[in-house]
Amino acid sequence: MTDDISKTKVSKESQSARDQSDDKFLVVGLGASAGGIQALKEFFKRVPKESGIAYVVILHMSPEHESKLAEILQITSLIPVTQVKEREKIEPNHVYVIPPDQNLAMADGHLTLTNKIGAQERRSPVDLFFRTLAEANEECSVSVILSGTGADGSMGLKRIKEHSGVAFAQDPEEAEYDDMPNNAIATGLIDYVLPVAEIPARIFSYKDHLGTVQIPEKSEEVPETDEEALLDLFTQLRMRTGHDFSNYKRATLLRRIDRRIGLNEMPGLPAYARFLREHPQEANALMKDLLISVTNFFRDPESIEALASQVIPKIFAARNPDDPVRVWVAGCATGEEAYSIAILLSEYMSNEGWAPNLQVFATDLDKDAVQIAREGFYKDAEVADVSPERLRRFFTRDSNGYRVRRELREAILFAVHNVLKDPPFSHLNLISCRNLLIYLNRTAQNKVLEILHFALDPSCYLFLGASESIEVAGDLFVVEDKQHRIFRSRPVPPRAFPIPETPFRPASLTLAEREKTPEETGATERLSYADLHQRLLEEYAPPSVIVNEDYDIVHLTQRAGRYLRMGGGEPSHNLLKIVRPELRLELRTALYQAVHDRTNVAASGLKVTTDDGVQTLNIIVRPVLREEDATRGFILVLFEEATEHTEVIEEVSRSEQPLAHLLEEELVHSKEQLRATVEQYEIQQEELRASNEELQAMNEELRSTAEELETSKEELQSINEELTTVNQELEIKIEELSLANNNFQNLMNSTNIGTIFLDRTFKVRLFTPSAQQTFNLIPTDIGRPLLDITCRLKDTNFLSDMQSVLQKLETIEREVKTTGSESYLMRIAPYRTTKNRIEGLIMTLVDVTELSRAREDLQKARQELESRVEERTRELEGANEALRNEVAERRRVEEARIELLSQLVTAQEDERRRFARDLHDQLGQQLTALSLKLESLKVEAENSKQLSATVDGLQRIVGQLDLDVDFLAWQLRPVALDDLGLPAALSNYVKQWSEHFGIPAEFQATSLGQRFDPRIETNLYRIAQEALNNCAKHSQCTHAEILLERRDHQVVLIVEDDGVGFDAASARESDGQWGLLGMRERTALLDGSIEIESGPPKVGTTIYVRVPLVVGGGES
Amino acid sequence: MSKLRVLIAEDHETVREGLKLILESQSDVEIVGEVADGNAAVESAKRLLPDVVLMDVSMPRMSGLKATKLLRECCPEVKILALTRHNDGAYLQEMLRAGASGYVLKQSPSTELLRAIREIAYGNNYLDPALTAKVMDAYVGRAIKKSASANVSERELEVLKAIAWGYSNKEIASRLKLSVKTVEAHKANSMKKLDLRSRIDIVRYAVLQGWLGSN
Repeated sequence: MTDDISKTKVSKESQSARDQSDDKFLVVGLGASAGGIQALKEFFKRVPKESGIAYVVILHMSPEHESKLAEILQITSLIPVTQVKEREKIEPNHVYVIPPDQNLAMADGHLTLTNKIGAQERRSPVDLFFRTLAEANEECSVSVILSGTGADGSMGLKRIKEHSGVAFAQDPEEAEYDDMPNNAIATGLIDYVLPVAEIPARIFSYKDHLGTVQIPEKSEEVPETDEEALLDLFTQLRMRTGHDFSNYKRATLLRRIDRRIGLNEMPGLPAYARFLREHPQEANALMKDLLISVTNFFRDPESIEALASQVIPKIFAARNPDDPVRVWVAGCATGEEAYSIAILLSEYMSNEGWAPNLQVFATDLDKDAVQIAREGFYKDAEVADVSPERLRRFFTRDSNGYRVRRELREAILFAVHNVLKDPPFSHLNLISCRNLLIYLNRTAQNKVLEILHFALDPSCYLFLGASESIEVAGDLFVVEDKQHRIFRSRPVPPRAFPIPETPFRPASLTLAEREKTPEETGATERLSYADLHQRLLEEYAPPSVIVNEDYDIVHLTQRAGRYLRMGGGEPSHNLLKIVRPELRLELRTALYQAVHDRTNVAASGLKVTTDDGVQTLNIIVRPVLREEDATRGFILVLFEEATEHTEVIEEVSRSEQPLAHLLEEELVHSKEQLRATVEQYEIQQEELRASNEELQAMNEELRSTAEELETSKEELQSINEELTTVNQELEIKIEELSLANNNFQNLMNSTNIGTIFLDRTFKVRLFTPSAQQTFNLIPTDIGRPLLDITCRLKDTNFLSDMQSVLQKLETIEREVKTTGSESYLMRIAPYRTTKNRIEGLIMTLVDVTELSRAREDLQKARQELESRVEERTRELEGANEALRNEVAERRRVEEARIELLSQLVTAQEDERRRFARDLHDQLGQQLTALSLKLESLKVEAENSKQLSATVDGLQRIVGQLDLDVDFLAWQLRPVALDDLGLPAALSNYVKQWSEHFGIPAEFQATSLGQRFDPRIETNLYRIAQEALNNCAKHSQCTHAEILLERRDHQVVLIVEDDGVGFDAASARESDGQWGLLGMRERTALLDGSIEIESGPPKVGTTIYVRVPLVVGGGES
Repeated sequence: MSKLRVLIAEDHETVREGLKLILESQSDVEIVGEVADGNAAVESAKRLLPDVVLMDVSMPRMSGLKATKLLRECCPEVKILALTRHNDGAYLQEMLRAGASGYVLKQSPSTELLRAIREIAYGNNYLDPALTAKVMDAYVGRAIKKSASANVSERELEVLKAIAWGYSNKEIASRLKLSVKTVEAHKANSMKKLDLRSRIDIVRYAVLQGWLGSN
């Protein structure tokens, strides 16, 4: 509800000013915290250049750092983004960003900055901005809550909604941090929960629909269709929700209905009314919107202070100390107001030393709000207005919020209650009814004030909202403090007993009729011809009166007054009260009959003394009976003067018959008596009605109490259930305990270990029967010091042992002998409770007589055994030594063999190398020389044909010889192996082999690096040679491959063919045949390994030879 | 026109004699010196700066290979013709790499020698025709497509890599926790998919794929 009347006025004026200058535009406030930047970027990406809307971004930022937010948003935004640096006029199509260290507020079409704020300050910048935005911009404000932690924004958006703005929240599913959206949604006031990407479009469509419906505030200006639609709408609401809003202020209602129209994208009021009829759930949404109320703790602090300092002391001064102080908070919303007042009263009572005797009734129309109030739980932001001291005293901390303490909570009764409809409370000392009247029109205000006056004890206090007054009921209340809106009830009787409408109201009475009543009484100025005719007719018709069903006169003709007479006391409209007493009885009967029998009734021949003398009257009562007649329920009473004729006859009979006269006298007397009785009856009836009122009020109170009791009962039931569960658990525990106890007892009795429990002063607490073998214990010794008890131990000095155990908390164990040469193992240990406290000692005595005897035997046997073992060990060592020598010898022999083999191989190779060199270098060169010389001889022998031919022949022979020598040398040992290394030699060999045997073969050397040790080169060459020879001889292959690779510190030679292969498992046996033995031996010389893969499923044979890498000399 | 100045480096006297006989019969060739080992060849060449050095490959003290390298560095203008009995490609490659401009076999007719001297003296390279085939051999290999490992499963690729690394089927089986049979199957399938016919093809493919770069 609005904070104060002046503010509302100001905003209204500025609003109309805006209307005139035609620059009223939407202002969208976007509130975000953690994870908000992404959402904001997403949002502004979808805002076009000319949306006609202004955007204000409120983001939680560290006040110590500069913000780059504006630059960041500018990247995606089409419209200018600026950070607010000073007071600035707000323009559409512009984004404004909050500076990091200040708060932003909206006032008078401008954005203003508050003073710098500190880092530690509790900040709710979103709430703050939304509040000011709501007040400044009314329904043209839109709030959007995006990703973030905490609940900032939730309070602010309530204000926005209260001022008919719109509230959006980012879909929590989508938000990076869902706290803020969730808290906003929890207020129940969010209109749309959407992914960010869809929010802008929705805002634009809201903007397009906003203001399409212009409903003037006074009903006369409303077009006929709209007015009908509005009435239809009220009817729908009353049917669906049971609440009648027709008495609420039109301006507010229309603004909020307009908002719903915008939200549902309806073209106008009639369409919306239809929509409402077709969508029952919309009725609840509309009602919720209409009932929006914002309240906080200690609202209007000055007024609250005035209440505390001026009014509360007076209340206590005036009351009887034993009576409770009774307070009614009407329209309590979510309970803050009620708790605030209860806190004030509690504080006063405890300060003044009064016993806490307080009853606060807090009521509201909104069931949900009352439920929240009953819970008494408020978020951090909501208790911001409560001082820390009060927080401590009246609240308890709960997860991210505060809960009202039970004592305070129990002093307040919360109930759903309609001030206009339900019976009121009574005998109250204070009523706070703030910001409720502003929603009601004058009629309803008047009625509420009447009700409040009835409920208050005389001279007690009424506390109203800042923009409310009692001017419609100045006769009931007197001003106590004008500034703070505190009033006092005048000690006058109630204007009327506030009869609750619903249960007693005849079904025929409609709203329209009630509203017309004051018009009828007051409106006489304008006269239609119909009225004129009516008037003139009245002149000639008998005097008549029209009364309602309460017999209150609503209209009377000119001459009817002569039959009425005002008595003393309070003036009344009631026909029965002001009709001349002689007529009263008959008139009452007639009226009663007419209403009861629904028929015309006449009472004739009544005598009445008027100013003109005695007259005879016929009274005719005519109720309006036609169902469809608007005036149904009214009754016409006609006073018809009887003809002289009857009077004469009566006169005659009266005078002529004395007996009759006597009887008549008696009749008059009886009538007098009857009248007196009737009057008495009427008074009593009045009293009964009053009592009935009070009973109803009390009933209402009881109903609320019962409701609360029901809640308490449920709580108690759940506590009871919990207790039952706990009880069951305890029973199980007890069973376990007794089982453990039994086990323990049996263990104690059956064990042969003597056990004595001692307390810290070494008094016996418990012992087992076996302990009696060593200590002369009897059951009555429990409680005596152990040292007083005689024992059979030789060594009785266990006192020091026990003391040392208690000091060091270490178990002592030693063997003791009895006088009877038995041995016991005595163990003294600290007695630890489960809580690890030392509460004494446990002494156990185990009979180890047998054991020590056995131990001695064992000792002897062991010694014997040991000596035997020693002897045997010596023998074994001898044998072992011999074995070791033998093994070493064998190893030496094997090494020698390998060494020999190696030397043999080397020698062989050296010899081959020498031969090859000789062949190549000596013989070969000689052949070359020979060839050259033959060449030159050929030149010289050009002339002799025969010589020429001979030289040619010689040259051929030399050529062939040359080839033979070369091949021989190469077969012995290729020179390339020494000169160029293994890959070159192998490559050449493979080529030769392939040519020689006609089998395609390939050689591949990969990543070899430096040359290997000559031994490796030679042996691998020979292995490859042998493998290829095998291949040629046995495999029948069609293709062979030789690979030479270096892998880490290994050289790998792979020879593969696609021949028939052989069974690798039996390869070892056939080594000789396959020439594998030589390969194996050469591999062994190089410390390498050889692996052969052959036989099915494999095709062909693969030989892997791996030898450790040794890099060697060799010219490179 | 001046004569071609030739230095003979040859350890066998008889061969030297034969060479001299041949060369002296040529009117456009002049023998400027004879040496019998690599060391002397380098020293003399530095001093005499001949047009061509006839370099025997196998010589005592310093081989023709090393002498060629040294000469190439100090006197790049002196052309070197390798003259040798080694008729395998490996020697040829080594000598050419060391800087010889020509390579002639002693077994070939003397006309080859003379043609070679003249060719390299005029700045061309010369190769004994008997060796041309061997040079070609080095470049004749099956073309291995550096195809993307299309359709080859992860497992098959692993097997291929291990094969290229020289692991035996048994080793691969134990490393990859497969049966030898499966390894064989993977090997056969992947080779088929990549059109590889032999183990050497696999290694070449691996080199192209860069699998053998480091461990």
